[in-house]
Amino acid sequence: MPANQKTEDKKTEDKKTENEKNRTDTANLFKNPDGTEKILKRLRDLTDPARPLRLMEICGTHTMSIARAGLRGLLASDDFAVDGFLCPGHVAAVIGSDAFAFLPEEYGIPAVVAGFEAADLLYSILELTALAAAKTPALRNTYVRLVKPQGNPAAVRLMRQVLTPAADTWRGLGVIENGGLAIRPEYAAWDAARKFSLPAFQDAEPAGCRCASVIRGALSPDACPLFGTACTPADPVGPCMVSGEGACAAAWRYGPAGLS
Amino acid sequence: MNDIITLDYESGGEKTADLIRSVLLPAFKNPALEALGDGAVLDGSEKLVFSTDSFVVTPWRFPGGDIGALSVCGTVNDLCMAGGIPRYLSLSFILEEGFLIRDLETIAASIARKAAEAGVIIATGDTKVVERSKGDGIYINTAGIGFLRAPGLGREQIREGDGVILSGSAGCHGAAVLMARAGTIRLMRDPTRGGVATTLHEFIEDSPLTIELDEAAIPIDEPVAAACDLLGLDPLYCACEGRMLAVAAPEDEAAVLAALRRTPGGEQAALIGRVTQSRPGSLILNTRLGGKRLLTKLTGQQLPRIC
Repeated sequence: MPANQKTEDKKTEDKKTENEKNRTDTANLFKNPDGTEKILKRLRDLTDPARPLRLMEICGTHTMSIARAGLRGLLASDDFAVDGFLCPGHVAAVIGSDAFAFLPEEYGIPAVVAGFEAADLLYSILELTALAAAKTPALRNTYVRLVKPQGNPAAVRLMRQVLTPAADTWRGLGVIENGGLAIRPEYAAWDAARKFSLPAFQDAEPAGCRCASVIRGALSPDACPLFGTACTPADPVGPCMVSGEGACAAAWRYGPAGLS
Repeated sequence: MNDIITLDYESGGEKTADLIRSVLLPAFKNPALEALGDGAVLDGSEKLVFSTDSFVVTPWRFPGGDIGALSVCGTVNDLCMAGGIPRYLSLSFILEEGFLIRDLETIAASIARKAAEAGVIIATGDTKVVERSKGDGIYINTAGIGFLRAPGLGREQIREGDGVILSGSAGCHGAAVLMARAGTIRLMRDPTRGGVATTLHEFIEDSPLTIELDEAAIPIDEPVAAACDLLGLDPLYCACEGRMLAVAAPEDEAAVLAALRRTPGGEQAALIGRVTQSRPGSLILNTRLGGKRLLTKLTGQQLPRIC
């Protein structure tokens, strides 16, 4: 083997190691109680209790088109009051973190693509808070161990092959053009909705449910008249009371005083 | 003998007798069963514990066991947790037409092995065959009788300051060891559906007590942790059959732990939390990161992470 070839190999190897290093999440540095304390302290320093920041966790939006169309629909509402977006890591693993770049670029709202472990979320909230407090519209990816800017092109190709953007109903927001996915005509034989003549999804909001306002950051969960009375995690009325990720479910479980 | 179960085996005639003689009796040999009466005549004139459970797991063979082993361990564990030393089991098969007799033999052998390990006999049994597509291969029901050795266990016995102990995989043997030390144990349970979190929540819900768990102290096998991490499931809510959750008086918890750790399969036994009164009726997890999480009862099914 010629000497210069060896040097080339070594260079490639070094480059690889460097890439690996860069791909290690900063969030990993905070996977201990001291790290958590540091994050909490920095969060306290960054925020002003008199002017709380409203951060929104986005769930779903499984294609670029849904992310754009759906979030644009959301951003267009008059009472939209969110200072930053926490973007879904596993969606971004497929469609790429770049899919959320339009949020800071076009709307001036910072966004952070986050992982799901406690340290991931805490660190991502810190990053987002720092951006929001400084009014810096930027996109950050704190889940680099899984998420690339361009995502997973093979998966995106497959989705495009079978599915196509279509109008869909978002709870509390109504029908959003290109806000959902439909099965392409070539694959209609496998479309359960056609095959079994399923009725169209009904979007009648239950009486009194204020999830739409909670989602937009315009209403805090405990201000909803159904909160904790007609609507509880065991018997939810609206989507915000469902699962550990629902804003109302978390507010109901921990209460205003939390656990500390 | 035919290779597969057919509806003929349901007739109660020649085929049924054939199956009992050639597959079931040899596997479970004991005088009570061999009498082939309509019911078994058993020894015993003391307080009993009695339990039953049905097993519908599919596929019937899975990593670490099969439906046969599960059908013995499940009921035997329930008897143990109720403070009994298990003695007798009934065994009832519901077989789908077409089930391989070879597979039934494998299952019978694993039932026999687990029964011998647990010191129980199959005292009586039954076999039914349902038409093809009306079952899922094989269902098993077992009922069990044990002699009561640890009376008075119950959630009303739990006191502030008690220790919460998880047994490792030594469930029933562990319980037997603890019963020999009666008086120190307030309550024992097998954390089946809903897992450790749901079972512990049932210990203290609607009571003035709290259970606080120490996340770092809970033994979770590496493969389980990895699979749960990947899927976004919480291992504390995964069914954990065959283990034991026990609540012990603080002055005895060290002895209880030591006894469990000497039991085969109990090496991982750990003190995972304590009974307090910090938030009545709540189960609280003190996390590795220094935070606190409220663990509620599992509602519905655990959902894998989707976003």
